[in-house]
Amino acid sequence: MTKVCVPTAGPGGLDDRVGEHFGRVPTYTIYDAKTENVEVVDNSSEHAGGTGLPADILAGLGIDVLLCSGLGRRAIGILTEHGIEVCVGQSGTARDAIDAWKGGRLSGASDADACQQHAFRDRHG
Amino acid sequence: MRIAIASGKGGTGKTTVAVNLAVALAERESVQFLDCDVEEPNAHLFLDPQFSDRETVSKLLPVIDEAACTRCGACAEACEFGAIAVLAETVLVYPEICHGCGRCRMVCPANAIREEPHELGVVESGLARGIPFAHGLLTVGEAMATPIIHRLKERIDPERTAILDAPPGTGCPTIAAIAGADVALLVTEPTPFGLHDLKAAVGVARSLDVPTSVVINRDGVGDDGVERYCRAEGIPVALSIPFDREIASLYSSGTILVDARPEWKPRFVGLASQLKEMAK
Repeated sequence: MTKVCVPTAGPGGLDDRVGEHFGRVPTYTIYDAKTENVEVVDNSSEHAGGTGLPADILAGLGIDVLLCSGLGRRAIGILTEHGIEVCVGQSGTARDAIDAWKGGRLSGASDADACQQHAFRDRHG
Repeated sequence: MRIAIASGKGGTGKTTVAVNLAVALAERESVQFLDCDVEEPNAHLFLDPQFSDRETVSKLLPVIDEAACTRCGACAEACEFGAIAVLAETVLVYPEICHGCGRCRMVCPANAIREEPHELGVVESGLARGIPFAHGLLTVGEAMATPIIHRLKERIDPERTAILDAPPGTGCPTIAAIAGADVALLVTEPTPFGLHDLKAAVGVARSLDVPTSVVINRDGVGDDGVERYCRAEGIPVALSIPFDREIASLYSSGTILVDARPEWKPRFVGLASQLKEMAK
């Protein structure tokens, strides 16, 4: 596992805050654990006026792990189908989340971790 | 002549203006009313139509034959909207994102895709005070309003003045309602919120090459920002409706302003004349 993605609330980067909602953040900050390279990708999904679902876009970018605050049940399902590991409950900066992941302090998400306000709405990303 | 009544902001008085315009104008010429706010139509509450026809509106959704599918990914790649994801074991179709264009079926080399209609809502039509009336109803839980709006617009009679009550906002449903109109009448309130969303609506109308005119509703609240903006942009303010308790009260009881206060009739007729001048 090398590519780690953190949804970020602002312009992105390691010092940006973890975005509150996976699908609706403006940027995704991507950290390559092998090369230590950091890349910022704009949210081009339909949630941000573009096309496609964020989960599919991240899969297309070759993401292995998602570290986020919260997300909907269906997003967890699609990410899991793509083989992307999901860790919820992150806060602080992208760097904090990545450090916690590096330290092995995070565990994977399941359906039970889905944001409750979306749990009844399958169409959420 | 097609008049689209629109607004960036919701709750500014689109339906009030549309309904009064229709009733005032119907005494002098043939009009037609199309409520294109298919997510929350409300003109029927004022015009009280008798519906005589109900038509289902569907879009075509791809259905994947998993046995024939080779997971080649051609369908997902061809989709303009990201409505299909090809995974190792299966293919996911997101019905709410799919626009029903059929491109995935056309490009599938294995012939593994067929299309099935998926119901989105209905169009109901009939007569209200002798005025041909139609509205659309998007089924709760469905996301795509535009096919219903397009179906409504197929009913436009070129011999009549068509009044289209557009959905609020500046998204696809609003664009679908305004596109092809001779003039867009943008209803706003004179507040910073109203101005902000008016600017967005003007942007939409301009990008569609539709001339705009403005109605200021609840005139007297807020500030003069909308008037200054309209003056600077050369957009005529065709009518102002004051912030008035009686007008609000009439609305709340489902009473049409020009019925209760006939002095408003010539004002709405005058509004229509201005729009006709602009559309020329």
